Amino acid sequence: MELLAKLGINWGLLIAQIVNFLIVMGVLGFFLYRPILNLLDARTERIRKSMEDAKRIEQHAQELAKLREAEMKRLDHESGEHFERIRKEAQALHEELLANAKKEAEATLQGALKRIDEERRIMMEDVMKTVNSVIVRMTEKLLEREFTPDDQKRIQEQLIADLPKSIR
Amino acid sequence: MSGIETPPLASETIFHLGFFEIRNTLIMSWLAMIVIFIVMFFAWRTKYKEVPGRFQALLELIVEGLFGFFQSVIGDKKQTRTFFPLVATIMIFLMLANWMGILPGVGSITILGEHEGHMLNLPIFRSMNADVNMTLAIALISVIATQLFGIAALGVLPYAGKFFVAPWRDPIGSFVGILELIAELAKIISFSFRLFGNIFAGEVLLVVISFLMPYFAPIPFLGLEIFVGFIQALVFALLTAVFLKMAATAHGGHEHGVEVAHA
Repeated sequence: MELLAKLGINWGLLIAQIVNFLIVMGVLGFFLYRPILNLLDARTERIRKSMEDAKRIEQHAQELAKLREAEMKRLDHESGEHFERIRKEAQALHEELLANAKKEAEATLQGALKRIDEERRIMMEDVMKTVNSVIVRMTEKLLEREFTPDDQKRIQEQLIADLPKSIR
Repeated sequence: MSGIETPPLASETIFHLGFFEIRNTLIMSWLAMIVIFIVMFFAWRTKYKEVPGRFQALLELIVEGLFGFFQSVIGDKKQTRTFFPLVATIMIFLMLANWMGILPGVGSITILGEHEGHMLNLPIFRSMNADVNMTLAIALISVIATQLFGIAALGVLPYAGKFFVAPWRDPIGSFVGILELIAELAKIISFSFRLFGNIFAGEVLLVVISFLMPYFAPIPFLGLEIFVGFIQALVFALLTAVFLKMAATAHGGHEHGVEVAHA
């Protein structure tokens, strides 16, 4: 008891300090711990939900990306087929057009050659007639006599026979 | 030149309210309470918002830091939430009181008064924990709370079984139970005298150093007292948390207790 007295232990003061401590604990609990811990819990919960949402969105985005990739592959494949088909069609059309053009060109060429031959033949006939008449006249002048139609015909035949084959 | 006037072991009575002694350590505890109430008033007035301001962020930092620390000791979030008001208040209140004890004016502002039959210059303010009444009060709260939480977690009979084991069934367990009971009582003494001793020794140290070299020399010791004030508050709160956790956890002795209780 002497030690307690020396240490100044006073039961009234002891109880007062216990009450003081309990008041401080109550005030801190009511104004500090409870609201802040609730706030922190709510914040943690919100962050957890946000994280879950973000994870779900990421998963959805990954699924969409996979879907997109598959769709792109499919479209790529389809477009490749389309392209090949169109290329073949274009090739066929090109060949057809080329063949037609060749045919037309051939026909045009043949026609032109025919026309050239015809014109050449007509021209040669004209030339031959002119030449014949000139030769007959010159011969008549040289011989100072006129040929009969039979002579003229014979001379003409003889002349044609003497001409090179290419211009006959 | 006068000699060193070291503070007496017992706190000094400054005045009386009826039969009640108002001691200098009680005044300091009121001052510490006022500081806490002012901070809480500002917290209440500014309201807690979803996006915290600087003041709220500071309070969140303190509460979250303490909660995380005690959770790492206790291990279970739900239990930590239950014990948190007690252990956090011990930490905050003791640390604040310890730090306020080294403020200028504490121990040096005096009035003439009677102490232990002598007329002396009595300091109006004295560090709250340099009084056994305060440390004993918190030690009692800590130990009683430990018993109450233990009973709440395990039940009355299983908890009592930690201390009371039938000697004819388990003589060693019975002896250990008695030791456990003594240990519970010893906790009160160790809690209260550890804190009181450290803070009182700090006060004496500062008085001695200030007497020997009044200028500059006490500064490192003030730093030391800040550290000691923090450590002592931490140790008190930490030990309380550990004892609470131990009390609320069933262990080997628990089953014996149940057996005895049902015998």
